[in-house]
Amino acid sequence: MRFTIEHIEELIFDYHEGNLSEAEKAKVLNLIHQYPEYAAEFTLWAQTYAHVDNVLPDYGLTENLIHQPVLAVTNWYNTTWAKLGVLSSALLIAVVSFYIFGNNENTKPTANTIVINPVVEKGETSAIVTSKSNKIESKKLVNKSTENKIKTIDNQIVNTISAPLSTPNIEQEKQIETHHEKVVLVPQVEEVSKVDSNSVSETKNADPKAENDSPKKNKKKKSFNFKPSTNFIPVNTDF
Amino acid sequence: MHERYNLAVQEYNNRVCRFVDKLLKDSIIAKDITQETYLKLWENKDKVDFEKVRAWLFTTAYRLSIDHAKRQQKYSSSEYFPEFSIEQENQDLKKVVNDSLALLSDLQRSIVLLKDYEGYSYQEIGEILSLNESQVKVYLFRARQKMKEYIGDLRLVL
Amino acid sequence: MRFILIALFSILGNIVLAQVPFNQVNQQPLLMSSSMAGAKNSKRICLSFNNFSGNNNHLNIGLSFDKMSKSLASGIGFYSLFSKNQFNKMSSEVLSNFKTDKTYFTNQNSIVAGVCIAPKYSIKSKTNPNKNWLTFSPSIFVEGNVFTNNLIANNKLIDYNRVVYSTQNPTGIQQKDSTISNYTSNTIAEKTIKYGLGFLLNTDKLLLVYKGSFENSFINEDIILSNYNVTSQRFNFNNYNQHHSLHAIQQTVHFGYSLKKSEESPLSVTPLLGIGYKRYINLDNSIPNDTLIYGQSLISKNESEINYTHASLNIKYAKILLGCSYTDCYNTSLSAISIGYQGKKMKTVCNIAKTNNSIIGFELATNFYWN
Repeated sequence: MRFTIEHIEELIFDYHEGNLSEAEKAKVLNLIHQYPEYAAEFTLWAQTYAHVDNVLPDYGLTENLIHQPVLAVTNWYNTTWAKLGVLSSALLIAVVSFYIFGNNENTKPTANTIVINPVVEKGETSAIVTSKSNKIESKKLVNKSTENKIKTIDNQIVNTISAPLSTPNIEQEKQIETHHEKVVLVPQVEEVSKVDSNSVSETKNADPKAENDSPKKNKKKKSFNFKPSTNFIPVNTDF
Repeated sequence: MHERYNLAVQEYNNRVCRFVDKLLKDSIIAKDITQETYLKLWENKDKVDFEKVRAWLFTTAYRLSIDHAKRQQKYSSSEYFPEFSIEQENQDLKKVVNDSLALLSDLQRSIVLLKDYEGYSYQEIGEILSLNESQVKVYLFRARQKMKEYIGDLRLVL
Repeated sequence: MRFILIALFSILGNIVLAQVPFNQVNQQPLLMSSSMAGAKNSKRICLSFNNFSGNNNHLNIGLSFDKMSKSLASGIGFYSLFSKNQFNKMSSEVLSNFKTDKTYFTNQNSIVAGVCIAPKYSIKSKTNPNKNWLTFSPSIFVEGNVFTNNLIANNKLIDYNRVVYSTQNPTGIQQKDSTISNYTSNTIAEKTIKYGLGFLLNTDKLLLVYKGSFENSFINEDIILSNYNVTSQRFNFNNYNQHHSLHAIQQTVHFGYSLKKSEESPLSVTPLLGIGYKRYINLDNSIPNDTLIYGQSLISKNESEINYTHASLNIKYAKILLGCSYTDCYNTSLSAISIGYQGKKMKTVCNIAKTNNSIIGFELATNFYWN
C-alpha cells in the first residue's frame, strides 16, 4: 500500500475500518498532518460511523417466536390423566363400598316370615313357651350388640294369636326351649314383604306381657336406608 | 432442538429485526420478515447448522427483505424519507447519518449495517450476501463515500 | 400485531360465541343432571335435534341413554351432544384507524360425551312404611368436550397511522405499503374435561335437580396473517400461537312441580324453572400480557356470572302436550312454543323457537321408554 496523498481516501477508509496496523495508522496521521486540508475529510469519514446505536432495541418478538415443546404442565397431579385416574379410583371405591357396607349380614332381611314374638339371631337365646295354661310367654335374652328384628304383624292376627287359649285341662308348662323358632301361619296370615336393614317399624305385638318381658323396648324405626334401592319413586311422567 | 432454536431466538431476534428495520426503514415489515425468518428456521431446524445460525438468519432475512422490496417496488428512497427541513438548527449527527443510509443501494446499506452493527468481517459479510471479500470492501468504500458526501453537503448548507 | 388483533376482535365480536341449547331441557335429562339417570325406572333413549338458519346457522343433536341397574341399584347413563354453529357476516365498518370491507366466516364445532352413575335412595313415609315419601339420588359424572372455532377473514386491513409528513406534503400522504393483512385465519381448539356431582330430590310431583361440575379447559390458538400480491399469491406468512388453560365451576339447578287436581284428572300443569351459575377460577392468570384473539375475549369476561336461566310451562291433557318456554344460555335467548304427544312408551315434543336475533328455529325431541 502506498501512503501518498493520491490514495488518501482509501487510507482514511482503511484507517477507520481498522484494516491498518499501528505503524500504518501513524503514517496516515502523519500524512494528514502534512496536508491539513484533509483533516476535515478525515473527520467526515469518521462521522460515517456515527449512526451506530449501541443500545439494542427490543421489538417484542421474543415471546411470540419462542416454541414450547409441550403445554407447560409442571405438576403431575394437574395432568388430565392424573385427574381421570383419581376420579376412576373414587368411582371404584364408591361402588365397592356400596357392596361391602350395604351387604351387612346382620341386616339381611328374612323373606316372607311372620313371627309372633321378637326373634333374636346368632347366639341369642329365645324362649317361646307354649303353655297349656293358655299363655303365650316369651323370654328373650338379648345380645345387646344385635339388633332386634321385629316384623310387622297384622293387628288382627296378633290379637288372634295372642288371645289366651282356653284349654282348661292344661297342667304343665312346656319347658323353655332354646332355639330359633319361627312360627308360620301360612293360610291365615298375609305375607310380609322384604324388609331392608334398619328399616324397622314399630312392633304391633299386643301382648302386654311379652312386651314387658322384653328387655328392650322397641326403638323408633329409622326411615332412611343407606343402601341404594331399586324401590324408589320414579320421576313424574310430566317431566 | 427446541432449546437451540429458542436460544437462537433469544440471542438474535432483535438484531435481525434491527437489521431489517434499518434496511427497509419500516419496523412493522421488519417484524414480519423477522418472524418469517424464524419460521423458516423452525421449518428447517433439522438441516441448519446451529453453530452458524447467526449468519443463516441474516442471510435469510436479507433475502426476504430484498424480495419484499422488489415486490413492493419500494425502493425509491426519496419517496420514503422526509426531507430535511433546512430551517432546522442543531442537526443531530446520528439522525443525519441515519438518513444518509437511505441514499445507498440495498446492497451497500446491508453491508454497512452488517459491518457497523453486527461487526461481521468482510469475509462473513461476503458469505451472507454472496459476494467475495474484495467486492464487499469496494461496496463498503463506495457506501461510506456517499454517506460522507451527504454529511459534508448538509454541513455546507448549514 | 396487537392492533391487528384488537381490530379483528372488535369487528368480530366475542369469539366465544353463543351456543343454541335445547329448549326442551327435560327431554335431555342427563344434560339437566346426571342424577336423572335411571330416574324413570326403565330404559330410556332420548333424541333431540334443533336447527336455526338465517344469517347464522346453528345445529344441535343430542343423544342419551340411561337405565336402572338392579344389581347396582343405581341409574347409569351415557350422553352425547353435537353442535355446529356457523357465522357469516358481511359488513363494512370504520373503526378508528381501520377501514374494512370484508367477508368473514366462522365455523364452530363441538362434541360432548359423558357418562354418569346415580344410586337411588328412598325415604319412607312415616305413616306408611311400605310407601316411599321421597327419593334422593346423588350422582357422579365425567364429561369430555372438544370444541373448535375456525375463523377465516378475507379482509383488507390498512393502517391509516402510517402516514408520511414532509414539507411538500404537510397534511401527510398514505404510505404505499400500509396494508397490514389481507387474509386472516384464526383457529381456537379447546378441550374440556368436566367432572362433578348431581343431586336429585323427587316425590310423586316434585322435582329438584342439581348439577355441579368442575371444568378444566385447555385452549390452543393459532393465527396466520398473510398478504396477497397482485397475482393473488399469498406471501408474508406470519404465524402466532398461544395457549391458555381455564378452570371453572358450573352449577345448575332445576325445580319443577306437577300440578294436578286429582289422580284421575287428565289435565296437569307442570312449571319448570332453572338457573345456572358459572365461576372462573384465577381468570386473570389465564390471560397473558400479549394476548391473541381468544385472550382478548377473556379480558372482557366476567369472573362469575349467571349464564343460564330457563322457565317453562307445560300443560298435558290426556296424551297431548302444549307448552311455552324461555331459555337464556350463553348470551342467546330463546322463546318457544311447543306441542307434543306423550304415550306410555314414547314422548315427543316439537318446538318452534325464536332467538333474540329474530332467527326462527325448529326443535324436535323424542324419548323412548321400555323395560
